[in-house]
Amino acid sequence: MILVETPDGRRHEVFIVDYHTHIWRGDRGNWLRPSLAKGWVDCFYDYHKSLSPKEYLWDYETFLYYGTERFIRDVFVDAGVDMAISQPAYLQYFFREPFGNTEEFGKAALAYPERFIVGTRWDPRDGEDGRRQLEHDVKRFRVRPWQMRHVKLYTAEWKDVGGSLSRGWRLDSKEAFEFLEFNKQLGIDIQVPHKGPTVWPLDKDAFDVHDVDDAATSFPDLRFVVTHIGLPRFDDFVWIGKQDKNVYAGLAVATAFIRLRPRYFGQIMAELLWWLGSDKILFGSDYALWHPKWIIEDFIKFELPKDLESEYGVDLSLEVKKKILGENAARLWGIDVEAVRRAQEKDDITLKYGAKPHVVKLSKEHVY
Amino acid sequence: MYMGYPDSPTFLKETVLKALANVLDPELDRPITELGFVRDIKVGDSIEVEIVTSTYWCSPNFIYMILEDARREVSKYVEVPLDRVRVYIRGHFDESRINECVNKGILFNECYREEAWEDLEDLKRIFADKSLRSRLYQLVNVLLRYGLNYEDIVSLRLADIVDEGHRMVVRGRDGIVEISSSTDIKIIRGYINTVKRLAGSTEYLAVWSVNGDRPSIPDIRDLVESRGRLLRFSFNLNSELCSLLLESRLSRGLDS
Repeated sequence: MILVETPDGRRHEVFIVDYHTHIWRGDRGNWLRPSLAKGWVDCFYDYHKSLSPKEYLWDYETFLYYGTERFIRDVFVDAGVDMAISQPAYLQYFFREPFGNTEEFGKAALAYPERFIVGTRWDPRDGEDGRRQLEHDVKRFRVRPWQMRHVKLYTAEWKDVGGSLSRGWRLDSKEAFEFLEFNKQLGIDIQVPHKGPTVWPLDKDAFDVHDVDDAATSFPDLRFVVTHIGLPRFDDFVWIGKQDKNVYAGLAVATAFIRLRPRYFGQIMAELLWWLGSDKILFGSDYALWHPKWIIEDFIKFELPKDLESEYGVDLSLEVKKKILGENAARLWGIDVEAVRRAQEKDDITLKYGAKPHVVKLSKEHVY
Repeated sequence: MYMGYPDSPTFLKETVLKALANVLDPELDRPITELGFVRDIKVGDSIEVEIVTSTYWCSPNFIYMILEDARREVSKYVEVPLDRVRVYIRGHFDESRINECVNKGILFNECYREEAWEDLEDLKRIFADKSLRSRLYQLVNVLLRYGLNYEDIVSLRLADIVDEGHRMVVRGRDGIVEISSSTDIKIIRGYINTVKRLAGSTEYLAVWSVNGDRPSIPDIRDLVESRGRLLRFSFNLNSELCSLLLESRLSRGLDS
């Protein structure tokens, strides 16, 4: 919880939901194909290093594996996040145990169902086995209505299929549509597509988000949170986000621009507010790629540059920020915020770890 | 044009670099030389160029386009046969396959026979259209500032723009407009060069796609009011992220 104190002395409660967090398994012992696994982790580390403020830089070893304890202290205690959502990319061709996984986050969600929101993933190439696993995971973890309501869909996952390497799949394929249909039966109504660099066939643009458009149009009851605002196809994504009422923008990666490249961040927000509107944008830190503490504090204090504000005719007021920081995700995941707050007051993360509301003061110069 | 190969290696390397300045990263719409992708140039019996990009995971298809273009540009500009120009991607998950295929001059879909159906022409066209439109957006903004309207702009012919070096003269329907701002001249010149490169020779100034189609007035209006700005910004955002990642990557060495 963040309490924003405005110069008139009032305090505004801001409920924070981080739609994009990880407890990943990047440790060396888990590298199945070391060059690929290392290539993956190193790339993540470059993201971390290039946009984090110096005081938030981790050493490489910590970055490889940090576990649930550290997650609790960083995300809930230090940053004041109320609820954190998992977005696992399994990468089973690279790692022994899934890199982003359902197990560790799932255990945490069972222990603290009002803090951790677990989701899983599927892969259309897994067929019947995949459907069984999905059903099993829903049974195990659906301990609250908001648990196991979403899946991360990483379309560039590599997989050994009958002895040959398949380097990705498409969301508009027949097999993927069968899974989407199955999701509806299981009550998994939020899909979080994430494009990666390889998708079959390789001559097509793997980052192209038009297959999301097809799926979103064909399944109007499902919601699609396109993560990383569709980067590197931001232009195509916002167009789709405007057309399809059930397509949302996930800000993970985009938010990290806020400290070192604020002008870029401002323009991202201006474009998204102009095309999609304030109800379809979700805050995410992508922890541990970036620590949510500095991002949240910067975001609350952030002002759209005046020229962008007038050029686009949008505003990023405190009310809009509250939607982006939590209200939109709470609505999407069906979170009963009052019930969650009451439960949080008595859980170990409050009592043992000492999580409490953070006060962020806005000065007279801030516009809110 | 460099004519006297072999000559001083320094001069030759500079010539190679000039050739590489014509190679654009399609996703970023910027020359690979500006992006810091050119890591090494060796000159001898053959010319060798090493390229590095922002991550280990760049899409093989885009890497392929960049390497093919680089090889072609160097061969053309330095006037050496294609088989004496070798280009290599370094620090990429599929580098051995890509480097072998590109330097043998084989097509992408032959190189990735099991994973690709077609060559990269369709994909190139999508990004060439984006590049063209993002520059058309800049051009139209310049011309609007000089008092031309959408109708004037779509009816201008390429021959109506006279480039005199330090100034440009635009022969519009309602008379002559002179442009002397060097920034504006650069934008117009950049646009015209892009059209020539991507769409070949065209009669009209405003070109909507690489096959030479002209934009309608609503197309132009839409471009100016929303889509062009978005397109331009999207390229810039990709470039910025790419530079940040490359800097971090190079600072820790290049093993992955």
